[in-house]
Amino acid sequence: MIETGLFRSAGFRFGLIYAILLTISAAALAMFLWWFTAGLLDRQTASAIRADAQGLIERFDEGGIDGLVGTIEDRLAANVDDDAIYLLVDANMDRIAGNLDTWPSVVDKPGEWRQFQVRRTGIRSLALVYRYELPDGYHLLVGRDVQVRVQLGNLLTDALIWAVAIVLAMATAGAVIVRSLFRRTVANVSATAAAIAAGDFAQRVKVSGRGDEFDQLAEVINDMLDRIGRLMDGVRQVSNAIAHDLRTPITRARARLEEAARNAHSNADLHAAIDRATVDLDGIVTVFQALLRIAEIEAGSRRASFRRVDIVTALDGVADLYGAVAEEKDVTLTVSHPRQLEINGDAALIQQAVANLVDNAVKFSPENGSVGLTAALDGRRIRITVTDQGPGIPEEDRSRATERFYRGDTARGTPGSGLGLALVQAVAYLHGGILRLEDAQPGLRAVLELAWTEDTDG
Amino acid sequence: MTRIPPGHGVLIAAAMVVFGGMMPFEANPPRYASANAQPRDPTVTSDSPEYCGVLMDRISGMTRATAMPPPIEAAQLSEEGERMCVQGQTRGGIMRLRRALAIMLHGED
Repeated sequence: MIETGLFRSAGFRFGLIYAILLTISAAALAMFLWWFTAGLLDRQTASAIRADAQGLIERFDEGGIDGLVGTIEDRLAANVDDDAIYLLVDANMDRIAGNLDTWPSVVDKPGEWRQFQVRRTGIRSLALVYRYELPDGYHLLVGRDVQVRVQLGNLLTDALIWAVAIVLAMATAGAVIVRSLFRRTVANVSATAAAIAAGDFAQRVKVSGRGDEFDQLAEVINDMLDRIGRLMDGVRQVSNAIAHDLRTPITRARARLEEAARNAHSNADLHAAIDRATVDLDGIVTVFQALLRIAEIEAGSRRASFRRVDIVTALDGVADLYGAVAEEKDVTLTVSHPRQLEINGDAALIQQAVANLVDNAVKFSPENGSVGLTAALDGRRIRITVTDQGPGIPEEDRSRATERFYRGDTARGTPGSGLGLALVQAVAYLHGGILRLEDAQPGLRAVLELAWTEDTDG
Repeated sequence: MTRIPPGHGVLIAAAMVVFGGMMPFEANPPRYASANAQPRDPTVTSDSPEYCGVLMDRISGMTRATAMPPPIEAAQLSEEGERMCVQGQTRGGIMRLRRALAIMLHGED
């Protein structure tokens, strides 16, 4: 396993983000609960003190100092909750009414909240008061005993802090689990990639079967690896085929030139040998050109020159060319197509593909046989069908018939390089279609399907 | 150290502002002076045996004023409160006397 710094580890970062998010959520919830409980208690106390003071001040306004003193005594007598704090003093700070024996020294400025300790039957308690200034130099303190409230608030605060701490601990544990899950999944993919890099192309990423995002990723990677494997097999196959199938004509040309060099007695013999070698080499060049053409088509570069074309002209051209060839073999070539069949594509490539199919059909047809060339628009596809009454292609060979250089048993003895159907298939793919080879009973039915779209250029 | 993207940094700062703003506050938040420096803590005088007497005088005064016996519950609470005050359970007694007064003022629940 590659050792990484802690923060460079994606798994650690995922786990850390999870832990932070969970802790922030818990802290937010805790703050909300605190605000709703202990904070509410504080706000209610302050509100009650203000309302109480407002009533006393109004009483002073109505009844003067005597009215205020009487009201304070009444309220103290009615204070069933035993939490009211009042103190009324004159300008000399001498006590007039209320239930505090002395003015608390911490309450030195009016208009401010003050909290201080008081004695209640020998026990310390906590008072919260607000100082009001009255006319004629009177000073009034209104407050509450908040000892119980403060204790409750502290209890709530402690509980919430502990709750957040517990959540943080659980979040850390969860983060460790998330990190290990992440690392296990990534390790699975990394191990597979490392094995492939070391040359074991059969390796695939394990799929857990849960159908989750990691499984989807694994399936996509495995599909990619399958495709790469097929492409590598294809390249290997083509390289082998080229090496094998072109070695023969090259060797034959070389052998003929060697023989001519050894045994030619005259210029005429030499010229004849050179002409034969030239024909052999031309054949090789033709094969290479066909290979390059197929590669060019498969690369898709010809798609840039697509335009709207009527392939009926191309079909008629093929029919004219191979009509004569068919007549020589006493093969009947029938053609059927609509008057117009437009497509976005490359007319030359389509004509080449159809020519290859008709060439094969005529080549493999028996004497007095017939070859059919039909074309029609079927939904969103143009279907070009070439049928013959020849030996056909066995079902087990049809999938390989479009491989480069492949020649089935039925093709032995007939001229050809084994590239014709490979080119037809490449043209089909280029035009968004397919090539199907079917049993015509008897013979072969080759169906070239090309994608068709409506002309949007008007 | 992993650099925090600017977008994430803004998110974290916003969270701190929002959650910080949820701290309880009022327009004039109470400022609590330290309670340690008091040379002598004030005493609450409504917890004293003398205050028991003040409340009992009020109850008696209200009974005389109405010229009717007090409600039963108020009488029981008054008696209980007086007994507790005599026995030294001042705060409990004061609480019962206050409840008796409340019943006599506002009637039984």
